[in-house]
Amino acid sequence: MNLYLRMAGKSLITRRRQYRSLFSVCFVGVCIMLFVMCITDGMLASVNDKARLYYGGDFQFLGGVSLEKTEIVADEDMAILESVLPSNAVTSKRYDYDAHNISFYFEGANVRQRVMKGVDFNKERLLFEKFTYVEGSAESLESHDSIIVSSLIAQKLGVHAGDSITVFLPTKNGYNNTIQVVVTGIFQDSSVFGMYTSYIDYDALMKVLDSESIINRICVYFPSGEPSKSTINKIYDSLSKKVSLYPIIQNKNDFYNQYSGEKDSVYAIVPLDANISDLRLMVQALHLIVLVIVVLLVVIISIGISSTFRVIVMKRSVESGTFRALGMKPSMLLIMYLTEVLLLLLAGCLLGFVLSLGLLKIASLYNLSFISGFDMFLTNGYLSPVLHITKASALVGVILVTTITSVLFTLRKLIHISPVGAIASIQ
Amino acid sequence: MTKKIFKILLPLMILSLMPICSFAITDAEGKAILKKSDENTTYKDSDFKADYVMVQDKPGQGKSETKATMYRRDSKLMYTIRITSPESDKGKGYVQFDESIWFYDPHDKQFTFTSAKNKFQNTNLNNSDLSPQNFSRDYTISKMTEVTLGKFNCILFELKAAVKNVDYPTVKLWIGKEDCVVRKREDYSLSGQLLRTTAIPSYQNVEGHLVPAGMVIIDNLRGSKINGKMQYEKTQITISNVSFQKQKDVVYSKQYLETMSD
Repeated sequence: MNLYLRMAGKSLITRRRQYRSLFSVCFVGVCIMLFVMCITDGMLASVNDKARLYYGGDFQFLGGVSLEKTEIVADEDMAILESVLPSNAVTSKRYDYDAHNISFYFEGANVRQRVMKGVDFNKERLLFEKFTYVEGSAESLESHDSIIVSSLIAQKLGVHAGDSITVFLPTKNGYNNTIQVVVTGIFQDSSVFGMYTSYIDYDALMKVLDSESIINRICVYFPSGEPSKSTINKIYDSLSKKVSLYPIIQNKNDFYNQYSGEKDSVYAIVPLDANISDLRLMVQALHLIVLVIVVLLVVIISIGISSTFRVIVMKRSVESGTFRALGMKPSMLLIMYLTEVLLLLLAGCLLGFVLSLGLLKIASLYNLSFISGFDMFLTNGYLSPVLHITKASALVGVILVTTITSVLFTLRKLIHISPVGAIASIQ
Repeated sequence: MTKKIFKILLPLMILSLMPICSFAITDAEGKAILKKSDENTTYKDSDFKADYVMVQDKPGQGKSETKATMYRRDSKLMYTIRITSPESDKGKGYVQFDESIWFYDPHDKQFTFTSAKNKFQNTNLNNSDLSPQNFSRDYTISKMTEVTLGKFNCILFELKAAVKNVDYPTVKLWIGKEDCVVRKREDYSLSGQLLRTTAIPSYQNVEGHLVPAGMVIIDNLRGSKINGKMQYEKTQITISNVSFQKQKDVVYSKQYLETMSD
């Protein structure tokens, strides 16, 4: 093998001008593929992170006797859930209030809200640490009247951390009610998840709603990272032995449409994907775009290299004939040429990889939050590419395999050249 | 000595009790006054038509004026409001019938369902303020006090909501003792925060009906800090050209607004 490597290396160096175009195709192609993949993965990871914060974790546990239940009933449900969860999972109770008429007031200025989430800041401390705070933090006050709002809302109201604002909303009986709450934190998120969403101390929300303590979702969060599908399935299997469970849903609206309340007392595990099923089409579109780009570039690289290399080998027919005359078998000749291709590809992939890292670094320097609607894909306004070594290695593997296969196919007849045939081809 | 002190104190005690004995309002009287004030805002025997001028003052942003003509048929719980000014809003209107309120925009020729809780043309007036008041039906009296409001002798009613879905769970009403008309109103949230103040300083007598000549509504939440001092938004309403003549039935229909906007 050493001989082939040395021969291939020497050949690449001495014929570097001939191989320049092949090398360029390879490294540019790999650079583009890795760049697109990492950017897309980063965008999707950003969406996922935001969704995780918004939905309180990695999955939600809904249903039972009622979609909205008292805290006592919720505690019972939580105990059942916690008995099947790994020890590192964090559970918390929330009340999500879809705000039809919620407004915030501060010194006469007012802003409407879309969603207000009643949370336990203590219990969800690990999750709220993931927010990017412009000011303050998600602090649970003894008076249970804390709230965190987005920077956009804070800007419109003119508030800062520590200010007291008035929350105005209709109670469950339709009465207008107000409560004073303290803005303990202002977070950065101008995506659809965070822009008009605020997180308020659960007790304060119940007080202003003039309601008994009610819960409409139990959230489960894995601080160590998003759980795998097999983990979710294990939890599902264990839980289904204790309660009646709806199949793991792809779209939470399917569950809501079929839920019949106390009659069946059915529960559901709602993974993060099912909550953002509206975005699934967009996610699939992104994956498809990446796939098309990768496939196209792989085809270009493999066909381009194989057809160009075929010409190169044909021009080296004398060399091939000489080697054959010296006793080299066709298979050994093939190995020599394939080793050249392999070294070329490896060098190209390596340079492509390094270049892509540079491009990714440059791309992540620019604040792109000025692009309307793009904030969902950004982290603090910047692209945050994610490099999966496994994926990158798999991509390189695919390039190597397809190109070498293509070259093999191309060279299978050329390597059977005889010395006489090689000389004859010159004349 | 004790007798002397007693002789001085006793008349004083009697005098101090006299106002209570002479002017205390009974529950029945209070309810009657409240009911009468509701009746004064309702015109069951005839239609009502008037011109409204609403001047909204937003601190730091200036004033804006809206003119409208209002038609009411309280016997059928119907009304129509046609905006006549400014030019940008001319032709817009509201029509209520079958317990639904519709907003009409002539620019897209569409009717949109709206709610009594919504603001009228983004002023500080609620749509519900343009309808007859039903405090005696929707609220219970938690407290009554005789007070003086400027030059008016009033009964101050503190009311608590008795039904769901009224805008304000707590209302304070200053009702004139003699004429049983609302002179001032304060609307509070469930937690007791003052949300809105309405003052009706003057009324006009038209065909035996007492109709507000002017009103001021102050929004105690919205406003702006000007020179370090909080100033709240307010809307001043002037009502004129009041008439109780019967109007054509078509006036209280969507077609009327569509036709009048063309």
